[in-house]
Amino acid sequence: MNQSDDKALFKKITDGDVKAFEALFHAYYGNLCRFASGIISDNEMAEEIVQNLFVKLWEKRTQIEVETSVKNYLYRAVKNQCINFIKHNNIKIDHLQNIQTEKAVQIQPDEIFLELELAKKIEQSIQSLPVKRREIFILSREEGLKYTEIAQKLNISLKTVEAQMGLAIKTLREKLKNHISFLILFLCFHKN
Amino acid sequence: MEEMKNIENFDWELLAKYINNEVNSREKLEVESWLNASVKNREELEKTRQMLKKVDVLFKNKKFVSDVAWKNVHSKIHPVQSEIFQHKKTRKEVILRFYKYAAILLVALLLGSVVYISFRNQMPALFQTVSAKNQVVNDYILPDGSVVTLNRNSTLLFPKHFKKDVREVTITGEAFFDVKPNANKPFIINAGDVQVKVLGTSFNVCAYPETETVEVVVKTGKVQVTRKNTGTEVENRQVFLLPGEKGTLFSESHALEKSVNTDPNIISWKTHDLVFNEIPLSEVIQCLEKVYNINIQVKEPELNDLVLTAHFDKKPVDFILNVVRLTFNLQLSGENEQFTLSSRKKNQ
Repeated sequence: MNQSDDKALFKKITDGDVKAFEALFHAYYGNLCRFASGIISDNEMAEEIVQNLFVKLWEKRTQIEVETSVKNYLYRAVKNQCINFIKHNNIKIDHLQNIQTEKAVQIQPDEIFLELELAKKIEQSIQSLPVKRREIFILSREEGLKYTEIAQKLNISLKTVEAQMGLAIKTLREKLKNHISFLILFLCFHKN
Repeated sequence: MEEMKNIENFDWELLAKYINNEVNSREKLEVESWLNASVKNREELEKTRQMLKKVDVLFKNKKFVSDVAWKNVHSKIHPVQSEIFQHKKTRKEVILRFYKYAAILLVALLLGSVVYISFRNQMPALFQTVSAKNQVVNDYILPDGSVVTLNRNSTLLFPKHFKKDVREVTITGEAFFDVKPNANKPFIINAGDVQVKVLGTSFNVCAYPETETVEVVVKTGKVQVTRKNTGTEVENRQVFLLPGEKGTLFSESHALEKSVNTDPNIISWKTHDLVFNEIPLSEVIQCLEKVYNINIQVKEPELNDLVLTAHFDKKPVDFILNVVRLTFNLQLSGENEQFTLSSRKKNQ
């Protein structure tokens, strides 16, 4: 979903289109929760903040003016809510100072936004891996296990883990080739 | 052509190891010399890294289930419509004949359970429970600073963050609450069919599902007890309790009664401070069984009528049973939470 798509969607939302609102919600929910959780280190509270934001967004949809992009608006709102939450609860977080003094409300450069379409594509590619290979790959990337830990857990040799990880990454790289390179270009463009 | 070949022939296994920080020093050198060989190679590594970053983000995003979250948000943005829907339903019911009631009720029940289940599914995100199984949970501090002591086999459900205007929790079993005063944010306890509302006080709630009553006894402050299911013909819907008073809801008759608490041991399960004022042994035993989570058998039924007057403050159960034994000249046997009291004479 690019910026003009977002704007078109937002126009529908201000007109009271719930379906459009739902589409926007699904496109942003996981990304915003991950972003909030990165600031306040609390998954459940992060979800509450993002859900409340969307409820408020709906209530005030006619009064909201999006200046730059819908994406920037949402990330900025979540960031402000997180700062409020931290202030309110007197939680001491080292980088709070940085957040407050940071004048730019742009998304941090290393903040990755994963679009629904690409998410689906990645999910399909992972699903297409043979069962064992998929299992090894998930243990490595999702659970962050070392090769030796995976070998132990699945009762297989270290050599097998090494070979399967190589094949898994090779397959994904081939399947996702076009999508990823397109996205790198897009990100560069967006950052400027 | 040459570059393509370069990538195709490349050892993905080694590159994967390099990215995952699993290479030894020799393998590391090997990859680095490959990287130094061409820009294309460095690009390939970078692209693979980018891809894996996306994959990692996907895994992280998946922790936040947007379908469930959407239901939650959707229910909050359409409260008015769902009310209208329910009104229509009641009107319909009046028109329809008796034999159709069952079907409608079933639909309503199904709808209700769907709502209930979807509500339950959301609970992990927003609610927290604390449970006591075989051990009393002492002085558990809630998000607002109120302190709860949970008796055995009891569970307390509360939101991770209280709402702005109310502190609401749900209890099954028995608990002693010491509620932090906050006049702007009443503390509400749901216990069975009873709702207890307070501003800042301490009191005991006993609402085990298997017992036929829900009991609330106040130690300090003022407490409002309300029966939840209205519409019955019973008069009292709510009572106000002061220190030393007890509110009892009888599940069967739905009667809500207020009385003076005569049991000095109502929170002994928490304090282990026991007072017996001319109490029959049968009741003493009931009380000890509850407070110490033990089982006491009495061999001869006539022993139950013996009357005890005593005060035990934080004494171990062995000590108390030995006092009972010596007072009435009985025999005591057993260990590990299973005890038997019997008459001395008959055994001789």
